[in-house]
Amino acid sequence: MKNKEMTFENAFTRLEEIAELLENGQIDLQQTMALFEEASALTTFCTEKIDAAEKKLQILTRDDGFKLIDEAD
Amino acid sequence: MPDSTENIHHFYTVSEITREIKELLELNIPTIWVQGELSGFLHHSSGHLYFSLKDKDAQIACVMWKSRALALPFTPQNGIKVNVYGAVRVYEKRGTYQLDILRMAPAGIGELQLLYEALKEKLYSEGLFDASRKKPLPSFPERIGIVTSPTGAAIRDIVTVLNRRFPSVVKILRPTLVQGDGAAEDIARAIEDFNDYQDVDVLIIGRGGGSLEDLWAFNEEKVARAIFSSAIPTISAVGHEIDYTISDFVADKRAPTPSAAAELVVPVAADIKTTIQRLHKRCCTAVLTELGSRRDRLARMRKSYAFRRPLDALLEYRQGIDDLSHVIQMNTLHIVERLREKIKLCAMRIDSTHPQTILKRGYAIVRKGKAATIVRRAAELARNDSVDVYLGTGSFSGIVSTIREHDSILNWHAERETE
Repeated sequence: MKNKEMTFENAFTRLEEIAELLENGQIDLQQTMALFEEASALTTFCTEKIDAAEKKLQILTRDDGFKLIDEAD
Repeated sequence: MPDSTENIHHFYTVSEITREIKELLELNIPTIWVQGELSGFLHHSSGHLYFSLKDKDAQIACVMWKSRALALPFTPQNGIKVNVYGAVRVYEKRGTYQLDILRMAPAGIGELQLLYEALKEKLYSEGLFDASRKKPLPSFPERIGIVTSPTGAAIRDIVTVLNRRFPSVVKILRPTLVQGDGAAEDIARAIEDFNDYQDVDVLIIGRGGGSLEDLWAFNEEKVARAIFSSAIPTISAVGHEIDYTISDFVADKRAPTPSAAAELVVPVAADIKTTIQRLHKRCCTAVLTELGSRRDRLARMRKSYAFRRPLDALLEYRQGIDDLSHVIQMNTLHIVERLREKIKLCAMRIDSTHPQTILKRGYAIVRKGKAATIVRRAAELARNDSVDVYLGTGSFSGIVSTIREHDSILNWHAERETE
């Protein structure tokens, strides 16, 4: 995930995974704290994505290459 | 046309008569609508379509040139009754005539139904509807591609629902012709465009409700194949709940309407936010519980023998030191005492060998002359030598009067007796 931009889906899945890991409690203290920090970061990331402003409809055009144009109201 | 009897010796060339026929037919029969059954259909590699139209008593050859065939809103099948719009053309090189078809459409709903069933059967047997080939939809798409008309009801419905459920999702429309000539082509190309563009997580392909003819493009083989080939997961959303198109069967997911497609493609943002907060809370609780249990364990460990051991060991150690110092102290005393005893014994032994001690037992030391040499044998003396004699206590000086040389004190006694 380091090379790829994190997606909402990946973040959400990882958050679920961490919740399970922490609940199973089979990890050492240092790891527990690292996972907890990661979970907090993921929560922030996901919440920000959800709370982002409404996106306008865009139009895909293909000429020399692809272009996105905001839809005219 | 000239009277044949008057021109008995006039010969037409083949070209001339063919030209005559061509003009007769082409000028006198206007562009017309013809209805008939399709037979001998051939989709030539050049793109042109060749076939015959027939009824029970006759048939006529037909051609549809590539430029027009491309925009054909359905895929012709033998046995289908079609309406064609075209003109009679004479093909001089072969001396044949044929209908040059500009437009062609199935003759009725029944015919479309037949086409639909035939294509469905064909694609089904090819495995285009296989559940195993269906891609899962992303749970949280961030960018949604939409293939539909920019002016239809579908795009409005989709955008409205998406904005209500998950406003921050990116919505990208590829304006597409969804009915009439060239629609199937454009839909297929739009799907390919999104696959070339790549940057969308899921595709909604559809249009609002309409007649079977209106929805027909979504029953076209090229659309079906484009959907099947799409690497991006697809949702087909055509017409109303009751309308099932070929696209619906091929797509990864069928939505009964465009609005429904928008409903199933994104979750409600508020719900997800709640879920995320719940997940985070679970993490917090888990960590707090973990820390709590660790604290308890630590407390228990402190009380436990294992944890108390170091302290015990320290106490034991300290006590050990005390014991040891006691031992050392005791030993030291003992050693000193023994040393003292030894020294006493030594002293006694030294005392016993001291000349003084010996003299005290009755012995005497005799020294003679100025050097005060100790006399050990009588022979060392001469008559009238002056000697000093040391006793146990005190000493005296004298002059030697008699010298007797004997071996032992016993003999001395005997010698003295004899004097």
